Amino acid sequence: MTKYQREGFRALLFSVFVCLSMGSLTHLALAKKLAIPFEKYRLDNGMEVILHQDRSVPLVAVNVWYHVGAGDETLGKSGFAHLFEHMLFQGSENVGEDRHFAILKGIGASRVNGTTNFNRTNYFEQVPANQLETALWLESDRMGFFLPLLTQKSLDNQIEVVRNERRQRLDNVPYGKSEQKMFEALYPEAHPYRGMIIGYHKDLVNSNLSDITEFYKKWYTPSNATLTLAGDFDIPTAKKLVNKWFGSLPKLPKPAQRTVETPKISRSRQVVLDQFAKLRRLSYAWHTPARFSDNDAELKVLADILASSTGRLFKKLVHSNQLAQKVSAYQWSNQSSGSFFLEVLLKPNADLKVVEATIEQELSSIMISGVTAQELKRAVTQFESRKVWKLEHLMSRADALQSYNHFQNDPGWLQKEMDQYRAITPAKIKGAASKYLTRAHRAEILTLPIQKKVAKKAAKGGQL
Amino acid sequence: MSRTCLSLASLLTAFLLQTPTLAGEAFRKTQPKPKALDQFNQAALQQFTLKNGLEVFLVERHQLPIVTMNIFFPTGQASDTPDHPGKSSVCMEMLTRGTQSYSRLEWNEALADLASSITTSTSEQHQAISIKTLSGKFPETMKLLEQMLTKPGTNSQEFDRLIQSRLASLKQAKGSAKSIAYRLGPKITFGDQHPLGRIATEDHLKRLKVGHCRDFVQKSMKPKGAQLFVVGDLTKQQIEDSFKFSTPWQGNIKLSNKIPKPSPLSGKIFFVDVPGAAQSFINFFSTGPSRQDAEYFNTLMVSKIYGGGFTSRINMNLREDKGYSYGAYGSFKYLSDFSVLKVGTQVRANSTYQSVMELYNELQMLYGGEKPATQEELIQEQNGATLGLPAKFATSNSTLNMYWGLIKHGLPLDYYNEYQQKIRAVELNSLAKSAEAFLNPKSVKILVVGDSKAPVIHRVNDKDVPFTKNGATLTLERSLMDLMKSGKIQGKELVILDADGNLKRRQTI
Repeated sequence: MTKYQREGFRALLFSVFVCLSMGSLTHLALAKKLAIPFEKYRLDNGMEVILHQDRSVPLVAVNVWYHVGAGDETLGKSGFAHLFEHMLFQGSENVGEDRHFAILKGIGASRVNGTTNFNRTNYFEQVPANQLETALWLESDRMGFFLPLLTQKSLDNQIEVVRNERRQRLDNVPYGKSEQKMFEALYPEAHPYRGMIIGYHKDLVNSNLSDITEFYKKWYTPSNATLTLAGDFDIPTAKKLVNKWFGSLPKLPKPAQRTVETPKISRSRQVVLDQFAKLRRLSYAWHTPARFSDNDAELKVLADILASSTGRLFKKLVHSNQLAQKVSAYQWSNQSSGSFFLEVLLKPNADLKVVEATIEQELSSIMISGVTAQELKRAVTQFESRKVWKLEHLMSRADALQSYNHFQNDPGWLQKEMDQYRAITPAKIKGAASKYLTRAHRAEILTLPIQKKVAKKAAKGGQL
Repeated sequence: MSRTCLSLASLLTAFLLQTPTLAGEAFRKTQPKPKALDQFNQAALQQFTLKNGLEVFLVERHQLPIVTMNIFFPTGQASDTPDHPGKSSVCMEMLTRGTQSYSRLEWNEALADLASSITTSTSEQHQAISIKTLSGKFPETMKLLEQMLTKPGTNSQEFDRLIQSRLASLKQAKGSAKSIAYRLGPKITFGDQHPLGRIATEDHLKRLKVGHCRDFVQKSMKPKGAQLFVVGDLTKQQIEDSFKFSTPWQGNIKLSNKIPKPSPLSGKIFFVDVPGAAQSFINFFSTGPSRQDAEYFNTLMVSKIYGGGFTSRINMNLREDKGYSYGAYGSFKYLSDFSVLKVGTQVRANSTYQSVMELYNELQMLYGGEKPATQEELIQEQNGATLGLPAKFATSNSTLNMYWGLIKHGLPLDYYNEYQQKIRAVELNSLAKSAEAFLNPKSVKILVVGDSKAPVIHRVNDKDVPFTKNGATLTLERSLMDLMKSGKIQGKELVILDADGNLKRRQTI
């Protein structure tokens, strides 16, 4: 089922993928030399193709990235990139209406889905090696022949499906309302990140067929797509098949993605009353650098140093002082900018003031004294190990190649990313924290369960 | 006239612009034909037993320097006594909070420095320790496992922290429709006297002491009777060497994972009120055949047609046709002597009434034969299950789970080599018989967690309209009574529960 994706939003501290060449890694704990073998080329119509061959299992991961995401949405159209992603599963001229999943099931495909984030939209399926051509048929048909089967009925239906998705992920869950409020505190009305990818109900219901047609014509051109194949195929045969299915699609101009300025915020606090929450939650967020830019890696490592199971705030708040049920921190970096989130779920009787003072103390300690070499080493080790585990899946490798290609125009950028992490020093972390995680420029949300007494208190001490 | 011609011409041009490549590309009209693929052969498995009696199953994979390892103990929730529901789960978590030589923080740091993880889990009839490590760090990780198995933590302060954390989680679990449904489902399915149906409450948690866990670990975390599954960059020799602990780890498991047959709560529809819920959580539960039963393949296919994946009848109905839900699923979960059919979806609050009816009707139509499985549906599911098999052995974790699924149910290790033939042998008439035996809507229990006061719609002439009686729109809770009164659902009792599963009241039609 199609879904929108908030990379790194909860559990994942690191949201980029890395792969390494199988041979070089064997029997090394953590390889120094990392590479994913690949070949990249371009069709005449501008579509990029990346091939990564691995013949060990008779499977191929087929993965298409369109270089458009929720970050390209305009005011009043929140959620549109993701709604469009849903529509692209609804049918195309030669494949037929709502047949995508059925056809893929019938050939034994797995990992069939699509996701949308602020930066891009992807569509993927893993198929038995002998069924590569069917996957290419499906992907080329929706790239080139989508409009003839577009109907108001299917748009109305998918608007409802997406609204249910929003309810399921935000409206009907504890702290969902607070997450929305946090994005509203971080991003002004016209900023495309404000809608949290999934979008507002009012914008979703206003979507119409001409929006869909225009969006498709502008963004879903072959020149704005990258196809990656990872797995068991013969390279010349794969090239021939890619050319057969995609080569004759029209050559159209490549659209330019938006770059949106990072908003400036001053310290603010809001109290959110939540009918589904039973524990208080304190959340902080700051604006931070974009994906792969200076200090992005430092902030990712710092998130680990603060909130992993060996992290400073974990030790003090969760373990020793028993003030928090859970702490989490993550640097969520995107194309235009990033955000650093810090969240503390409070124990029922914890003193909020002590929690806040502890966070303040740890943040300023890092800004003044930095972190220890051991803390840094541990966090970088964790980062490297996560990368190795991700290599197992063909689809993760395909996504990694796509990601480096999208952000750095180099599918093989992995080695440079690893270098970035290895070049981090305690001083650089101190610098990143001092520059970005300041008290004067953070948004704060305090979520309170709805109880009569608490609600009154909250109303009193509401705005800062 | 000329205008008509012009617009026709421009239409044609527009068409040509949109589909400029179609001419001469008739190949796009049909799905490509695949070349034949080699017959599937499952990964080679080595099986051996360590001196202490631990049975080992190993799949060697040397492409990546990683090891995935699970030790399964046949105990779990089934071994919880009536006075201590939740004990196995708490005690398994206690194992991750340090040992006699490592404090919790020292333990976390030791694992982090190795980039390894050792986690524990509890399920209905098993508990497990799962290890993930880079193969270079395997020996050091095993030293930590040795600590966990031979010197498990017994610090009462740490135990108290764990209980406090469980109490806080429990508090939060009563907050949303989804978490309430997860917690109460087993009670309805198995009954409140069944080891899988008893719900751990605050009182139960507070009554647990570290001594209970000491005793539990002593009786359950033993090698003889347990099974170790390893997939990854490792050899038999390395495994044997790594289990030569300096403190011996030996003995038999003294707890049992036997469970009685379910004895579901009496009533047809169970309802929990969550004021303001934007969506309702709906579950159906009933009992099915065991994994070893000859009916397995039939029930697998028919349940997939009903609720397996995107193309299932209920997903296509509730999501793709009516837009009530983001997704609906249903499948059999296999326990030792029987299985449980669990159907689940989250639907827009006002569509709850209609959604319960749709889920029920789809079941009724498969069961009663009004809309039997078609040849096309069967072939699609057969293809999905057989052609999709190699992908299930693509990663360490999935391979491990595939083999564990066999051992758990006493099936032969070469099972998957004949699996495809057995799936292919399923026919429509055997499927119909199976639906008749195991998809009887009469035996289904229905759980709805949502806003009792939400006004509901129903479907009239393919349109959603407010469901009114005597000029007033029905609320969710009332509409559920109406479902039974009208005979659309065979049942007589609506059971209202609180978020802990305690009876608030029963309404009988």
